[in-house]
Amino acid sequence: MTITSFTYLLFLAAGVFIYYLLPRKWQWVELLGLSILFYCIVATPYTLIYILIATAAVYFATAFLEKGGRKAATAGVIAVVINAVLWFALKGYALWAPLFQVMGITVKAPVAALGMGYYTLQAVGYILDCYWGNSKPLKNPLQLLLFLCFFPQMITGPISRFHELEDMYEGRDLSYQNLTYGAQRILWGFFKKLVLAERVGVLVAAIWGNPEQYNGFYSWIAFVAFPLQLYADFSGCIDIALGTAQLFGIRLPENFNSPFFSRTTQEFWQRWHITLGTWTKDYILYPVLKCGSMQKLSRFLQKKWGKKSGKLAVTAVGMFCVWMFIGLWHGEMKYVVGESLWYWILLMLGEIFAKRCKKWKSTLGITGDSFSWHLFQSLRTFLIYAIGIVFFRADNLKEAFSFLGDVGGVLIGRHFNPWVLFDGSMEMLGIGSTDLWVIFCGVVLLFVAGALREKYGYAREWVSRQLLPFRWLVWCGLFLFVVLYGKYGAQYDSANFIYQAF
Amino acid sequence: MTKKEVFKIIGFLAVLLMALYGCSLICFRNLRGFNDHEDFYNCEQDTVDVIFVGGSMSYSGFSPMELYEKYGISSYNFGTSNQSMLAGYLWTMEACEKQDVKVVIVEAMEVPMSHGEVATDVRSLFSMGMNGNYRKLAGVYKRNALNVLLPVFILHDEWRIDGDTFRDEEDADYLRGFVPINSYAGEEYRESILQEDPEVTTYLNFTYVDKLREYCEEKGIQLIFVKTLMASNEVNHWDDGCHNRLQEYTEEYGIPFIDFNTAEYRNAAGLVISEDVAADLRHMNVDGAYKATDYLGEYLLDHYGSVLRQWQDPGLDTQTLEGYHKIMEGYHRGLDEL
Amino acid sequence: MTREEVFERLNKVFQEVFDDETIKVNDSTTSEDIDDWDSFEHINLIVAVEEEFAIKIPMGKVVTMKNVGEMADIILQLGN
Repeated sequence: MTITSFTYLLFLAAGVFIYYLLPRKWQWVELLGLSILFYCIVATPYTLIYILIATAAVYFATAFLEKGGRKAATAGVIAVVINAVLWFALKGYALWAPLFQVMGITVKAPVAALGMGYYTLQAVGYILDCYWGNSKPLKNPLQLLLFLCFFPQMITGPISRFHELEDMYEGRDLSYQNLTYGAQRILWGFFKKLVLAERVGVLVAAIWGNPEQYNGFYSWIAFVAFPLQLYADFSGCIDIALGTAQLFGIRLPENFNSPFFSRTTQEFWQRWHITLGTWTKDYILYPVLKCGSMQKLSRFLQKKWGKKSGKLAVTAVGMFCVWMFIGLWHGEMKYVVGESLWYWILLMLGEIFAKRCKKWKSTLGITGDSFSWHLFQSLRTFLIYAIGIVFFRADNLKEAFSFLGDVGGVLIGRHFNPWVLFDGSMEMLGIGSTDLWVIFCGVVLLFVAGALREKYGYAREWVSRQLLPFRWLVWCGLFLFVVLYGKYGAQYDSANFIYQAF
Repeated sequence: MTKKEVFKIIGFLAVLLMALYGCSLICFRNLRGFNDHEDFYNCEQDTVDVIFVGGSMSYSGFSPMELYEKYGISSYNFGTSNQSMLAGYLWTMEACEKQDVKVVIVEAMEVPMSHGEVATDVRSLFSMGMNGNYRKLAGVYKRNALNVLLPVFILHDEWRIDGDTFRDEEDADYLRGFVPINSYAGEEYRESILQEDPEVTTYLNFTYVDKLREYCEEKGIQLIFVKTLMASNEVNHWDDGCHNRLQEYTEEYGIPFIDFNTAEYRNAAGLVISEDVAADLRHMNVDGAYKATDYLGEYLLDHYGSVLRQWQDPGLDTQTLEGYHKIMEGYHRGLDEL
Repeated sequence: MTREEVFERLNKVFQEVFDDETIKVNDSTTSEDIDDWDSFEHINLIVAVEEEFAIKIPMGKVVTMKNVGEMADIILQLGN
């Protein structure tokens, strides 16, 4: 069962139906049951044991908190270490396997738990929250288990904070808004995944699969299309997750906020995979920057290099820790280079040149809020992102660099073949002219929804304020669009979500 | 939730269902337009003795008009693209309502094409070109209610069919279901001689083969399996395993099985791969179709001459025959020019 | 220490940290209102506040603080 299948919708319908028949105080028990059932259908059932171990470790650590003192701290550290080690052993295979290889031992990749990268972060965040006094530890271990394995967030997150889900145990009354908004959001997710991501994916895979033949402008197409595919894929899955949760009256945290409208890379990372960003900010960046030795370093450098440079140097160290963590969390060296180093360098350059850029801008007479300036900034941010994301798509570093070489080569006139965009060659890439139109319309639709969100909050809310015939037209139209142009059914092996791997 | 809100949800779902039904109708119409057998319904009662069922191999492989002119046998070819055994079975029953059918010839590619998947069956059901609205067809098939009542979920790809078909609308009226192809395989093929190795493919689904066989036994209709000539079995679903399995099956029930890919039948019919198979290496071209039809004509007269009527006085008017000759001349000329 | 006093001293801290003498903070001031107040400056600000008031703000509060009003509440709570 994938979450874009008809079976999943039936599973969901049955689950929601029973949910609202139950008395409110029992509703969370049904959610736990559904989550375990979902896990057993979607993942390898025995790997549930890893989630149980994580839950048990977290539960005992937080139970010690009541007693306070050293013991509590030790228990907390032990629980965090257990979670981290489990994660590293199962998900960090690509990181530690080479070490064994050097020693001449080949180890088979272990089967990790579903959603391990996501729930492990939730578990660690929960321990720290309890330790810092921001949350009260749960008394019931089953409730804790539900927090960690709540099924909508098992595929690709989002990474929830405990205080955001705290009230899920109180139950909900049936509400029109939750049902309709939830269903609409799921539909939107289906659209992103089945209509856009799967289609663009064919194009991208064809070009990546044959770099010798598809070079020059082809590589530019893949270069620009892959960020789009990843966005449609990842945010589509998040939409389905958030919509699913909302059917049960539960609001999961947002993970995306029209990221391609961002003006700077820093802003981009506040609008893309938001929950990972805020998690690292709260649990890595702040503690690292605020710890005693960093403060000492800060004072020392400020005295030596001046206030500005001193601060910047410390910031750089903090950022380095954050980005290294994000790279490692993805579990392979290519991500460490593509995400960690690339964005760290870019963001640091941004910090260093921020003041100077302001000066240049005023000398050139650029007004800050013109549409064209925004467009330029967004395109630049997109380009930076697209370069980093090449490492995502490539199998290894060598492939990534050779692809980037190809993309860059076009700029100096190597493999200059812009006519492939117009002479029908595009249709040799496994998709027809109709598909290109569908992609075009889909992107326009994404853009419109993003613009509505920029201006009015959620696009769904904007639609809900319109007249009934218009509303129905919109939702019926979108539904039919997905039914007719979605890639599903017997001929298609609907691929897994890209972020399901983490 | 208030009552009004409940009504709103129900109302919306009703509108959505209607829209889905509308799309289903359009998909159905598109599919039917792609393969229609309007000309069969124009045949007079009790004038068709032999029918062909099967996929594209069938409609490009057998010419009822040749059978009529040369052997006096009246037949109709019900081939439609990717036809499954289910559709072949239903066409047989449909034909028997108006016609006194004596022989049913099944192009054997149908058998491995029918894996018994709901999607294949439903698609085939709606693309078989049978008259009537699609709910009538849906009624015949009871395996999966939702997919049959709202086939748009299965047929959504059909939305985009742009009328790119083998069948020329103008010609269709004169050819009784036959769709000639004029191209050559040439020498660029890998010969598919059946191996001695009696390996049997197990994935064949005989559900509707059995139903068709039982139906024919009950009605006293003779069943024959024929496999058309192909240039390479690598581009086909048909392999030695399929042949052997079907051979086993037909021997068990005493049904004739003529596989033109075996040396025996190929030589008997005078078929040559490089000349008689089309450029796609799968279908027979016009020449191949005529040789195969001629072989079948003689075979039918030899074995079932006593039950088959000899049609002297055409149930067909001269205009139809002239039209047919004109079209075929075009095809043969086209092939000669290659 | 009164709330007014706290705000007066906070103003000074903010002006120093952000190098901007025009900054005037009140209860509802958030990071949105001050251009340079990003996650890095947030920590610098916290450290400066800690030095100014001779207190230690726990990590949990650093993370959850939403506006300057909350910051003042925490200072008052810890200062007494």
